[in-house]
Amino acid sequence: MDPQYIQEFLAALVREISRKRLLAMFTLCTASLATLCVGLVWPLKYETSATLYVDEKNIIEPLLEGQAEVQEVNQAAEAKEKIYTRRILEKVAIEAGLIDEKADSKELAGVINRLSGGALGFDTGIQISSSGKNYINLSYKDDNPEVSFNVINALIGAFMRSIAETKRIESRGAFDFIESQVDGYKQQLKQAEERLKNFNSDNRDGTEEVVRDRIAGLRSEIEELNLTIDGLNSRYNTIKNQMDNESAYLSVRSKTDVYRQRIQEAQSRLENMLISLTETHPDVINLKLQIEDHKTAIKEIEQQEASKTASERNDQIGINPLFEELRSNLAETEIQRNAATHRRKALQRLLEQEYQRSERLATRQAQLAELTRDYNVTRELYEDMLSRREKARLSMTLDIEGQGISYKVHEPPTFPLAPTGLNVHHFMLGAPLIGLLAPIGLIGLFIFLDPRVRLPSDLGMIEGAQLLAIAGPLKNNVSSNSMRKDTAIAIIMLIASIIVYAWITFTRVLGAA
Amino acid sequence: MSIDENSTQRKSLTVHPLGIENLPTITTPKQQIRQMSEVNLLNYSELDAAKIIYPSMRDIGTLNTFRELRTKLIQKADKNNFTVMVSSLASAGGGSYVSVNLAAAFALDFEKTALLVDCNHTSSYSDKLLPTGVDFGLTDYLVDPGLAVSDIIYATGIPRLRLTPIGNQVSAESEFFTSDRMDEFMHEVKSRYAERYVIVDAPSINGSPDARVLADLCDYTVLVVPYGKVTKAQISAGINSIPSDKFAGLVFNN
Repeated sequence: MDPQYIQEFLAALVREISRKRLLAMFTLCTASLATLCVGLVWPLKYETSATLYVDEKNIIEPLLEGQAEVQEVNQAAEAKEKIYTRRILEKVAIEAGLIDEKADSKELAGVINRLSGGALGFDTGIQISSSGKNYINLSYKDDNPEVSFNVINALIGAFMRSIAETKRIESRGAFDFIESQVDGYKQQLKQAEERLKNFNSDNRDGTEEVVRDRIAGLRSEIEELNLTIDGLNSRYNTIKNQMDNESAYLSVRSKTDVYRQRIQEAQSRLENMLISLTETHPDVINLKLQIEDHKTAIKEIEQQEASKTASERNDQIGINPLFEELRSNLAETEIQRNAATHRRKALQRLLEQEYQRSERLATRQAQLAELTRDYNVTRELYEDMLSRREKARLSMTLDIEGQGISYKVHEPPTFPLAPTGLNVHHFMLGAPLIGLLAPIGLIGLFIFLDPRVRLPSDLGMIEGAQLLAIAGPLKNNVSSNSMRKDTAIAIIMLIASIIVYAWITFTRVLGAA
Repeated sequence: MSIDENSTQRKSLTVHPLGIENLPTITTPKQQIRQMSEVNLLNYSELDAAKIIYPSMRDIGTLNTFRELRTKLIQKADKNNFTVMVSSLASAGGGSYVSVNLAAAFALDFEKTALLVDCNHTSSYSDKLLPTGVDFGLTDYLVDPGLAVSDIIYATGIPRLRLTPIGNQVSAESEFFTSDRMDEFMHEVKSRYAERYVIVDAPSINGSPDARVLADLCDYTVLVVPYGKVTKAQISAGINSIPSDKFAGLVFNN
């Protein structure tokens, strides 16, 4: 705020006070005396308070870490929620002797309203505040110190009992729930096991591995057979060719070949002779004749051969030993080949069967995996639930034995001997101050709220306004009659109220104390 | 043109420190002013009681306020003489107090003279400044063609300060001020002396049309904002009812 503005405001305040001096003085005296009178009738309040300690880390907890869940209660907020319940307030009201048990509901409602603060709002009823992290402060004010003490005493008792009870019920409930869950999972596990057993007993195809080995064996056997058959085929063909070559020329060759050999020998001997002898040498001529004879013999044989019938020729062949050998070989080879071919067919059929079996096995495998998974999941859950049930059993035992309670009375309530809050002394001291402030505050408020312009600074906000001068009231040392009269009245009022104030102070406040 | 605006009504018994009495006729403005006749001057306690400023008064602040106001107006007029209307925004808002003291501030200067034209019948300053009473005033002049301007200008108990009282015709004032004769009067009093400043004490501007009529006749208008009597809206309305070229500014009257 502008210092200029504040200065002007204070000047206006002084001016208004001096203008309304009688009213201001009257307000001063009235406010002071009224404050003092309020102090005289101000009810004395006796407050009892107690502190609860919230045990966040229970002593049992580290010992059973991970084994038992110790119930945690969220301090002040939850304590408040619990304490303000009708059930607890009702107990407190009865135990503290505010009403007897046979009181009607209307009376009861009135007392509960009084304890909970009711419509009166703050600073009445039972106050709950958290001080620090683990401490909860409970306090209650009442005109009667005994009532105040009894209420807090009863409250702590009822609250602690209620907490213990709640925890017992909660733990028991949790245990029962988990146990029912355990039973459910047990049934499910049994069913899964049964299904798995049935499946295994139905399935006789063996494992996938066995089938795979078998298929591989069959395949290699078939490949081997293929090779064998190929070998047999080529052998058969070779023998057949040989036989074809052998059969047609077997007899002719045996006779004519002798002559041809002799001709060749004679020819070479002739060539040797001709080197040293002439054509006319008898040996040469003899040899030439021999060669001619041989050639004639060959011709005769060939003519005989040509005139013979096929059967005659065959008879001559049948006795060929090489041909016989070849023929028996051929027959044997054919037998072997046929056998191998049959074997291969059989093996291929078997392989086909193994393929079908492996397909069946794959489908089965998927079913098995599903059943196994079901079983495993159910088993895990069941085991988990079992361990949880044991934890819950421990928690329940803890709560039943009262070990799990996380509230302790840190500071028990003490009987209030002196009243708290404002008392008559405060009012006695505050009265002159309030009396002084009342007229100043009221007139300041009046200046602030009144739309009429009292401060030159306000003119600056008006459009087109140019402030030429501020003409102060002319100080001319002339004091008016009315001023003197007012001053006299004001002084009389002040003196009168000081006398009344002093009288009240001495007789009622200091005298009583 | 007679320098004596009114016959002396009282013999001066007390010697005012600034009092200057009957000097020979000389024609320069300064000498004209010196030659103006004066009546009995008011003493300090009388001025104090009447809330009128005078040199060497104890309340220097107020004295300086009016001197500054005077100086600002003179600067605004570029050192020519002028007529200025002073009107309050509320009745009994100190318009007369400001106009009398503004006139007194002009009259403080030896070289200037001030004429206070009282157009405000609620003002009590005419009686204080002219304790012996008067025969005619402004309204008499306006209705009676037989009266001259010099007949309604009276010397006061303050040196170089002249006063035209309102007169005896108190009904239907606005009719008087719209007349040509009023216009003539204003013109004549302004042009009589080069160093004469005419201050018109007008009634409240929000109370009657008189102030607006008078504002048209004057060169400047000063509006007085009384302490704690008017709202900002009323001040705005007052400012807007005057032509902007004639509005000189506000005076806040504590």
